[in-house]
Amino acid sequence: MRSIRISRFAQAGAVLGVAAVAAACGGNSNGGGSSSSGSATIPSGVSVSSFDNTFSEMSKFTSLTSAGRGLVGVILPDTTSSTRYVDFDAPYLTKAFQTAGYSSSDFKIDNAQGSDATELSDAQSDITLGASVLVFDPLDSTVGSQIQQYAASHGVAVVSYDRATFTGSNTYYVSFNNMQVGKLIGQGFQQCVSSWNISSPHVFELDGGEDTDPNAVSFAQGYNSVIWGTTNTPLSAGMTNSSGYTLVGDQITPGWVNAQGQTIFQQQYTAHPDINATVEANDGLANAVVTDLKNAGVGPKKVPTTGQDATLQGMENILNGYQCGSVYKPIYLEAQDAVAVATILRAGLTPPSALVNSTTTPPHGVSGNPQPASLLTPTWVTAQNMNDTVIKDQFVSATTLCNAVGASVCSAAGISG
Amino acid sequence: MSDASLAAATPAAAPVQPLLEVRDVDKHFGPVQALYKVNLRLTPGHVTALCGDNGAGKSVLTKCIAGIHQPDGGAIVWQGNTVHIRSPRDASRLGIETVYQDLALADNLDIVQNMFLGRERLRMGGLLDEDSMERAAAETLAGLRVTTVRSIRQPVASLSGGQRQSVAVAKAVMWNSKLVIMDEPTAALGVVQTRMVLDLVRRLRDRGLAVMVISHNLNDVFEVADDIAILYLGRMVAQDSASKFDRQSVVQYMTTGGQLRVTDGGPASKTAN
Amino acid sequence: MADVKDAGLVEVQPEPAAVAAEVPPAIAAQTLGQYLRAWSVRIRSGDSGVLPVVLGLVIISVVFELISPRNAFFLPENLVNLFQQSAVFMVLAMAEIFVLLLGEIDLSLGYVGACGAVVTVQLVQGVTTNWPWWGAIIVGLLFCAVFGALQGTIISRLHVPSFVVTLAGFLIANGLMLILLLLGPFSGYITLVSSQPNANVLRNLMFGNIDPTISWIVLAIVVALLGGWFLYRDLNRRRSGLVVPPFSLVVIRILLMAGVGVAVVAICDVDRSHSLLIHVVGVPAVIPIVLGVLVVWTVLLQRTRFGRYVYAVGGNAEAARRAGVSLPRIRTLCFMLCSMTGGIGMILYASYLGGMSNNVNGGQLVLFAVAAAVIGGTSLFGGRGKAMHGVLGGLVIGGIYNGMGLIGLQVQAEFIVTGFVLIAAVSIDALSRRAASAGSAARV
Ligand SMILES: Nc1ncnc2c1ncn2[C@@H]1O[C@H](COP(=O)(O)OP(=O)(O)OP(=O)(O)O)[C@@H](O)[C@H]1O
Ligand SMILES: [Mg+2]
Repeated sequence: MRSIRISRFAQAGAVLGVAAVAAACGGNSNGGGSSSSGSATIPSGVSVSSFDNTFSEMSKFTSLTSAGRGLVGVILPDTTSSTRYVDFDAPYLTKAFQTAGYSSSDFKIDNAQGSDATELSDAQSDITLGASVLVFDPLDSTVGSQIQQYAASHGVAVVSYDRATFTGSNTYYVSFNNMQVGKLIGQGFQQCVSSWNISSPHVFELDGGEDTDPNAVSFAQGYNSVIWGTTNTPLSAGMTNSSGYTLVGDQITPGWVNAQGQTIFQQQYTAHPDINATVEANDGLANAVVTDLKNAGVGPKKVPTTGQDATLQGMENILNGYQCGSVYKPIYLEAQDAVAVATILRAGLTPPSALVNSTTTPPHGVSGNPQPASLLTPTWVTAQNMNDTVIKDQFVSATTLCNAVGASVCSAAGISG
Repeated sequence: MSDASLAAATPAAAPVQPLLEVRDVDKHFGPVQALYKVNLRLTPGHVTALCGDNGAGKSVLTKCIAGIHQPDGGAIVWQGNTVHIRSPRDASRLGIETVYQDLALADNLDIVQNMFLGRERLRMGGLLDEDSMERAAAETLAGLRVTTVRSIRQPVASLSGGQRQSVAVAKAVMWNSKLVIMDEPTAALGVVQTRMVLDLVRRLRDRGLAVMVISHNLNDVFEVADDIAILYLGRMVAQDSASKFDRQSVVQYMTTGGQLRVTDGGPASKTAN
Repeated sequence: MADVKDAGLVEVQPEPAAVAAEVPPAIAAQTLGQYLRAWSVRIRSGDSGVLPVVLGLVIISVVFELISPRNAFFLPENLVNLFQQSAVFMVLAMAEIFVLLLGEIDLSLGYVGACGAVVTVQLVQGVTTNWPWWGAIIVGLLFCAVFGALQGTIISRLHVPSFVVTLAGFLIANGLMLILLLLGPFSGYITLVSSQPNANVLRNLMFGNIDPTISWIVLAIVVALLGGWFLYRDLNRRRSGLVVPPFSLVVIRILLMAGVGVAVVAICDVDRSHSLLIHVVGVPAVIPIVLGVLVVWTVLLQRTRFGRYVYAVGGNAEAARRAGVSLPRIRTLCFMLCSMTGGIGMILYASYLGGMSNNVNGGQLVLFAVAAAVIGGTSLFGGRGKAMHGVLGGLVIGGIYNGMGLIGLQVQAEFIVTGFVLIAAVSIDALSRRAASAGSAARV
C-alpha cells in the first residue's frame, strides 16, 4: 500500500515542479512599486465638494494616473444586502476610473457575493496581479481587518469604501459624513416646519438603532445640534429652543426595525395628541410614522416627517406631502472620491487635507485606531429638487414613482415618467 | 445422553477418534423445526460431505457449529469435551473456521489484508507488521499450492472465482485450525476452478484437518468425500463412509429420507430417527 | 510443503487482460518498462488512479496561466496564494474521506468545524478569556470530536442514515455557531487581527512565514530521513523476497519527492511583497500544517489496524463483522475523526479570514469538501480513497477558485466550473467501477 501512496505524492509533485519551472521562466514582474511619482501633482483645489454628476473633476487626474503604477483593485461585498453595488457602485466606479485616464487593465472591480473568504481571495488575486492600491467595502469587520493586514504586509495601500476599517495606520475611509446627514435632516425639518405653517411645534424624535449602530448616534447628533443646539442623544422631553419648539419625546428604534418604530410612535401619539412635528432618522421610520398618522386621520402637510436614503417609499411620501424630505447620498460622489484617493495613493503621494478632510474613530467597543477619512456631503431632497437629483441619477425610477403617486402629482413636481 | 447410546451410534468403521461430535442437536425457529436430534461426527484427516435438499438444514447445522446459532437441545463435543460455542470468535478459538458461501472477502483489500482481517499482526508502535503478514500469507498459500495469483498484493477484486475461493480457504487454515467447514465452495465455479478447489480440500485433509463440505454436486461429493452425511427435513438420515453409498442411494436419501432398496444394510442402520 | 522463497506467487500465468489491468503496476512489474506498460494497460481499462486529477490540475493551471492577465497563475506569489486558498478545502476533504471510505457522508462538517473554530477564536480573545492558543485549539477540536462522536453513535447504534443525522447536525451546528459568535462583546465579528500574542499565533497558522534558511534545513533533513527510510524499507523487503516495485521506480519516487520539496521552498522564497521596503518570503506555516495532517492521517489509514478496518467496513461490512470488527466502533470513530479534522480545517479558515463571522458558509464548504475528495479519486461508494486524494482535489477546487479570481470571473462561474469538474470526477469513478465489476463478472 505504501508504494502507491508515494507514487501519488510524487505525481502531485510533478505538477508543482512544472509550476516552478514555468514561474522561473516567466520571471517575477510585479509592477506594484509605489514610491516613485515623477513630476505629476495632485490636481489643485480638489476637495470633497469637487465632485458632481458630470464626473468632470476626474478628468483632471489623468496625468497623475499616468504617473502612478500598478493596479487598483476594487472589491464590493455582495449583491444581496443592497442592489446598489451592482446597479450603481460598479458602473460609477468604472466611469470614474475611465474618466481619470485608467486603461481597463489598470483597474479591476470584483464582487465577493457575500462570501468573506472570496472577498479575501479577491484581495490576494488583485495583489498578485500587481495591485498597488486596494479599494474594498468590507463584508464585515472581521474580513475588513484581515484584508487591511494582508495588504499592509505586502506594501499595498488601502481605501475602506463606505464601511470603515479601523486596523492599520493609513486605512483611508471614503464615505458620506454621517454627522452632516443628521444636520441636513435637522435643517430640512426646520424649513418644513415653517413652510407647512406649524405653530408652536411639539416635536417627537424617532431615532435609529443606536443600540447596535454607531452611525445612528452620529445622525442624531447631527439633527439635535441643528434643532436643539446639543449633540446629546437621546434627549429628555421638555427641551425647548429659541424658535419656540418643545420636545415631547425622543426614543430610539432598536435595531432600526420599522415595525417597532411604528408601535413606539403609535403609543406616544396616543399619549401626546399634541405632537405636531416629528423627526425620523431614515425613510423607513418616516413611513412607519406616516402610516400611524394616516390611520389617525391626519392629512398631508400637517405633521412633518424626515428621513434619509432617498428610497422610493420616501419619495412617494415627499410628493404626497407626508414627508418633508430625505437625505440623498449620491453614489457617484462616493465612487469619484474613492477613485481620486486611490489615484493619489497609487502615485505614491499623500491625499491633501481638503480631500481627506476628517478622521473616523472606532465606535465604542470596537478595537482599532482612528483612520483618515474623506467624508462627502450629501444632498437634502424635497419635491423641488427631486427631478434634478434622485430622478436624474435614475436612483429612483420616474415611471415607478409616478405610477405610485399618480401622474398629476408627478408633473406638479416637474417629473415626467 | 448415555455413553451406551453414544457408542451405539458410533460407526464401527471409524478409524480415528472424532474431533467434533454433534449429539442430538435440536434447533427451531419459532414453529419451524430446522434440526431434529441431529447427530454428526467429524474426524481428523477426513473430508465429510454434508448433503441434503434445499431447506434440509445444512446451513443451520453449520451455523450451530460455527457459533452463529445456539442449539436448543443436545450437545456439541469437541475433542471429547462438551463445549458451548457462543460466537464465531469462540469457534475460531477452538480451531473451527468456516468458509461461507459468500466468502466474506473485502474486494478493495489485497490478499494479505483479507487473510489477516481481524487478526492483523502489529509491530512496535502499534503499526501493522506488513512484512511478517505478507510472509506468512505467502507461506500459507504456497503450502496449499495456490500459485496462480499474480501477486499477493493484488486486490481481491481482481481475482477469479476459484482464486477467491482459494484465498477464503487459505484464510481459514491460517490459524492452526483443526476443522474447516466450507458451505458450497464450488457452487459458482467452472470446471478448472472447481478442480482447483477440490485439490485444495484434499490438501487440507492430507494435512490432517477435518473438513466438512456442503455440496449439492454429487460429482464433487464422490470425488472428494471420505464420509457422507445426509440431512432430510432436519433429520440426519445417513452418515457413513463414502464407499458405502452410490449416487442413487444418496439421491434417494436426499429426496425421500430413506432407502427403498437396501444394498448392504449399512446406511439404513445409521438413520437417526 | 514448498519453500517460501520459491512459492511461485509471482510466477505469471496467462490471465485475461482485465485481471492484469487491476493489479497495481507497481507490484506487477519487475522493471520500469514493465511498470509503465502495466500502468498504461490499467488506465486504458478504466482504473485510472490519480491520473485524471493530476491531468486536471495541469489543464487548469495551464489554461489559467494562458488567459490570466500578466500570466499571473504561475507567479510564485500566486502559487503561495493558491496553496493558502486550497488548504481549507484540502483539510475538509481529508476529513470527509474518513466517512466516504465507509460509504457514508457527513453534511455537518462545515458548521461543526466552524463551531470549533469559533470556540478557539473566542478563547484567545485578550479582553475576555485570553487562553493560550494551544489550549484554545485543543478545546475547539474537542468540541468537534464530541459532536462527531455523538452523530456517529446515533448513526451506528440506531441505524439512522448518516445523510439524515448529519443534516440535522448541520442545522444544529449552524445555530450553535451563531450563538457562539455572539458570546462576548464582539457583536458577532471576532477577529484575530490584534496585538494579542495568542491571536497572532492563530493568524500566523495561515500567513506566518518560515524563515528560508530554516525551511531549507528542515527540507534537507526531511528528505534525507524519508528517502533513507524508503530505501531501507525497499532493500529490506527485496532481501526478504517480498513484493516490491522496480528499484528504479523507488529511486524516481524519492527524487520526485525531493524535487517537489525543493520547488515548493524555492517558490516560497521569492519575495511576494509589492513594496521595496517590505519583504514577504518563506514557506507559509500552513504548508507544513497540511502536510502534517496528510502524513498523520495517511499513516493512520494505511498503517494501523483501525485504518485497515475502515477500508474493510467500506469494502464489505459483513466480512469485517465476521472477522470480529466492531462496526459501531469503527463508524463512530470515523465520524469523530471527520468532525475533528473539520475543526482543524475551519481553524485554518479562521486563520485565513483573520477571525470568524456569520458570513461563514458551512453548507457550501462541506459540498466543496465532498467534491474535492471525489475529484481527488475517493469513491462515494466506500472502500476506496486516501488522504492524498483530499489534497489533490482541494488543489483542483482551489485552483479553479484562484484562477477565476485572477481573470475577474465571479463565484457564479466558479460554481459552474466546479460542478462540471465534479461531474467529470464522479463519472470517472462510476466508469472505473463498471469496468472493474464487468471484469470480475466475466471471470467468475
Ligand atoms: N434464521 C432462521 N429463521 C427461521 N427459519 C430459518 C432460519 N434459518 C433457517 N431456517 C429454516 O430452517 C430450514 C433449514 O434451512 P437451511 O438454510 O439450513 O437449509 P439448507 O439445507 O442450507 O438449504 P440450501 O441448500 O437451500 O442452502 C429451512 O426451512 C429454513 O427456512
Ligand atoms: Mg444453505
